[in-house]
Amino acid sequence: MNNAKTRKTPPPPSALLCLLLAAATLAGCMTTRVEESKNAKTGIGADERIVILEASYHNGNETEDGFVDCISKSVQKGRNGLQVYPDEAFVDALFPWFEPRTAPQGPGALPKLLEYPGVSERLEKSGVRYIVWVTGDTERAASGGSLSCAVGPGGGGCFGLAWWENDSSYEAAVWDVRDGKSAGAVSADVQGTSVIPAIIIPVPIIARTQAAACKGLARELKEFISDAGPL
Amino acid sequence: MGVVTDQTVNTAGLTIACAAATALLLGCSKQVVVETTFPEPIIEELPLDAGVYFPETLRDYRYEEDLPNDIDWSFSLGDANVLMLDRALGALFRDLVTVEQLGGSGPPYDRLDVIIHPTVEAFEFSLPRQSRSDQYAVWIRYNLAVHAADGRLIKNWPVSAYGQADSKLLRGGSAMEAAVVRAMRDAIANIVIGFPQDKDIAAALLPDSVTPMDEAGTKELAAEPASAKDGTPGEATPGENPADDNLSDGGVTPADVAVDEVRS
Repeated sequence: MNNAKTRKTPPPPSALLCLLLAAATLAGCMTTRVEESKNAKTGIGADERIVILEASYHNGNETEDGFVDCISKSVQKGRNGLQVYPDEAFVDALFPWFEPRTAPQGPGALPKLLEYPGVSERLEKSGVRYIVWVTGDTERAASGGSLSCAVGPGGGGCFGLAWWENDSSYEAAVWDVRDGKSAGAVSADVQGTSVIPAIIIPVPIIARTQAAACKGLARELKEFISDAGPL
Repeated sequence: MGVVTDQTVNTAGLTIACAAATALLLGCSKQVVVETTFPEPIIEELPLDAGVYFPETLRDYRYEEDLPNDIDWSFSLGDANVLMLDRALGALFRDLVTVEQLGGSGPPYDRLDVIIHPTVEAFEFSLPRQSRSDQYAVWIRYNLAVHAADGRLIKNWPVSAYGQADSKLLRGGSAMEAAVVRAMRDAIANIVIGFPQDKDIAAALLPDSVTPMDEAGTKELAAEPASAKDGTPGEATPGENPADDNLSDGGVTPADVAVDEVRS
């Protein structure tokens, strides 16, 4: 009975404002830019797959291993989900031709690669039509603020505000294995500011730029590959 | 309620953290035992029967380093070294047998064309805090002494390998082990692609049936990043390494003369 009465009582305006602010800023502030550049007509058959690989670290690329996993999972989901060949299994099946040191540097190297004994057979058996090379990483662009915490026998708390800005910039270059040329590229650039304001209790408001970049890149990649329409 | 200033807390916290870190660092070490398998390389085998001699220093290879203000690292690569070289040389040659000495008469030496004597020349690693990145990195430098079946040294052939692994996905020892495994895969790639392309080796072992590939073929292999510590041993790929010409440790042998004749 008491509970029912409590629910009917309108919340104080200050609490309502806090809730609205928290809901509005829960994910921090982010700006996302997703672009594509298509060089050739694409499209994918029901029995064809794609493989998503991290570009070689021998060329200075530092794409996080987890980001490639995220893209691979994301492009398989949804209505136009693509069939993805597991990256590690692909690299093992074609060992040593897709190791960081030996991987082809451009689509122009594919025909020569296919000439090596056994390579074209393994590639055909995998059913992979497109190789997607992911480059880029997430970097901290700026940070600032001050946050102090204190603890005593009677309790503790924090006061202040800390913030940082992350920039997640990734590109996925798509190679058409069947035609032996580049089909184009998709890129995602997400900038976001995370904030931790604290008045006794710190409230982290995190901008998950990498997750947003993964989601945006995967969505665009699906459309890029499955859209068989004219350029 | 007691009031504690920020400064007091920071000092106290620092003291506690230092004491805890010191306690942890004393007697603390990370052991990396590499246990893995390697995929079979898809390459064209050479029409040669080979023997491989695994010295004890390679079969029981261990590397330890005491880092200042950090935990001690210990690596056991012996079993993985043998697996890696078995995989690489097994794919490279028509037949591969393990031999107990460098050259001899009678079986199996009378049917061997070449004997490979691998050693680990250098091992190096870096932690994320050292390279100021998220990567654990490993450099390994092997030397493959290529001998004729009678034991004559044909050439010392250096193989450099590099691997790195993301510390965000894997933690500590697991990331370091992944970096070692990637370095060993890199070594296999180097061996199976670079060995047939080395003009000295090809000239000595396959003077008639194999034409050494042009140097551009070797240069397709990218050089690994330089070491985070002092730039070694991360250098060039086998076949284009300037050190290749300076590593002979057996003086002038008939094989060297034969190579010189081919060169001239």
